[in-house]
Amino acid sequence: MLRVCLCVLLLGVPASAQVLQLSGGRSTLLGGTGGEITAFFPESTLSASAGFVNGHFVFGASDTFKFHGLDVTAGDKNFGYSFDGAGLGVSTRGLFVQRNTRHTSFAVFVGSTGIGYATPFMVTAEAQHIGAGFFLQRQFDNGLLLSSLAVIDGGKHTAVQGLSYRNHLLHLAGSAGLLQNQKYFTGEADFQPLRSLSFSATHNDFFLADHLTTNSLSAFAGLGHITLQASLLDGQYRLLKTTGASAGASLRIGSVTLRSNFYESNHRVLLVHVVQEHFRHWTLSGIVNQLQGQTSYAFGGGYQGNKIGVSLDHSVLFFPVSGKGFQQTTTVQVSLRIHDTALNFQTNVDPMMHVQYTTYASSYVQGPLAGLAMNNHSHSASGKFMIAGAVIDEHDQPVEGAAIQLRGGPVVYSDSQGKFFARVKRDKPSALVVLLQEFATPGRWAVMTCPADAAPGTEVLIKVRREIAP
Amino acid sequence: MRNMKRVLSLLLLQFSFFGLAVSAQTVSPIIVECGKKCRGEFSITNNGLTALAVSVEARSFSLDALGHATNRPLDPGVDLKLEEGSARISPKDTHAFAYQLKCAGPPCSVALLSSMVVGHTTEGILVRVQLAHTIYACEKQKDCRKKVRAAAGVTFD
Repeated sequence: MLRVCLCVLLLGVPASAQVLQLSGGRSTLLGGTGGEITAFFPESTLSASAGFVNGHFVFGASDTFKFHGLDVTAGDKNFGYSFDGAGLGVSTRGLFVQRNTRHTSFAVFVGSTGIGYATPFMVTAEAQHIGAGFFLQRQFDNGLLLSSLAVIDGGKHTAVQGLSYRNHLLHLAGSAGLLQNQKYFTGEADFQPLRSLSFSATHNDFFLADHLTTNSLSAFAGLGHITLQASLLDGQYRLLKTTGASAGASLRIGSVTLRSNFYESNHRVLLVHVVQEHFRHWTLSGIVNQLQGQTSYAFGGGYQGNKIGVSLDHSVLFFPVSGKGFQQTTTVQVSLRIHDTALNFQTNVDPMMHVQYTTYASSYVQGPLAGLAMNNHSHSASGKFMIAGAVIDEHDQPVEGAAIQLRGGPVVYSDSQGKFFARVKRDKPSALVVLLQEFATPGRWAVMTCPADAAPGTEVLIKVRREIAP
Repeated sequence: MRNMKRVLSLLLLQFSFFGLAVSAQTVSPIIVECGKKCRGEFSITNNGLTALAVSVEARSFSLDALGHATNRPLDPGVDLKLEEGSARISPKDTHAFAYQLKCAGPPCSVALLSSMVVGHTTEGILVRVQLAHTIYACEKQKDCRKKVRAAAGVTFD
């Protein structure tokens, strides 16, 4: 029955939604494949997810709306809180009510709880137990933040209290209590006596297949272009205790950073030397690893632009779960944007040191109720040559938000003075097109005069008139 | 394994739980300080659900003793090269605008004003948002903003 409702929801929503967000993907890290459709209405947001997790069909749906100043969600939702870098939560299916004011956040839920799958492309919950809970967080003006989370989840109880304090020298944060009937404590202390000197200590409890405890002590100093850091780490998972120490220095000269780090764990010493150069969009890294008398080399880097991002990163991570201490890891990340669609691919190394990946796509579609919708795509442009111009109306007044496209090139918009420019790579005339449907200024417009093409170094004048006011 | 997935989903939760949709456009960073010559960029984030056309205009400005800015066309000693003067930003996307600035007679105070039409009222009145990325360029980068404000007689930070 629920699956039928889900199908009806999925098919019915697009007909009337203002904006739709469509997402789909696959993650070996979270063990699922699926998709989500979210419909944004002026008064509510409707979401439906479906997919397969470990070969099982899972689905979820939710409706979020305002009710007397409260944010209400009916359906699937992750109930929990984030607190100074730590997060706790329970996947719920039921009714969820939240209210946020300047200093206070309050949330309460009632329904069923169970295993949840929250990914960038799918949110579902599997109902297992009847549950209820509340969360309260209060921020005081003196830097104190108090949090309280209580959940009854079947026969399991969660009651966690959190406290955080921050001033210009000190930051203390901790939360403790019962997490599903197990004792839980997470704490962090940061002391920064000088702008360029800081010390930090942390303790964390994690619950994987078993209980994992980690502790760390670290110090950081910045002396102009030189930075120094040192840290001690230990972790205990089941009966396996792993310790590690690291120290390093880096020197920045212009756009080049030189970094050397020493890592010691399990009586094994790893030395990593990195040369990294930053350009505006590019980063290039050369890495030399020395481990037990053997030397290896690696290269990394990336490009980050408005439409595309690619990176290959090497980093050293501490793995207390597998007992392997410090290990060199490699991750890849690719993101691409085509029109209103974002494509992402990322690899991660899980706590057992297995490489996992997550890939997903997300797109926005303008529904029939949507307002201004600009369907034409733009390009990131750069080049030596510039084509400039101005857009005016029949009264010679500047027109802001007029859309002009150079043939096969970027769409540009006029500013409040009616002026626009575009950079092109070749010193050749480019055909000009006025995109009347893409004007950011409302109303129906018509072109009065427009040159057929424009050459770099010259200024073009485009005259338009508004036929129908908004 | 199921527990592990649960924990992982909880870790993801911390990034999303209080990120309820706030439909506003943002500029980052708001203020930068630099030397006589600098390269930089600022980002506009479209937090809305529809695409946004953004145009960027450069203005010189001066401050009065109350810290209020008065914009004017770019001073002759300011050579500013914007890589892009406008862009279409997809929903929930961020677009970076890069620039190069040369200041012949420091200090130079430049505001890059990003204008965007975010809609119109039912009466047809255009709602336009203008966000500023402010550049203070001095002989030396350090405390440039402080010096410019002090020179204008601004006594508070």
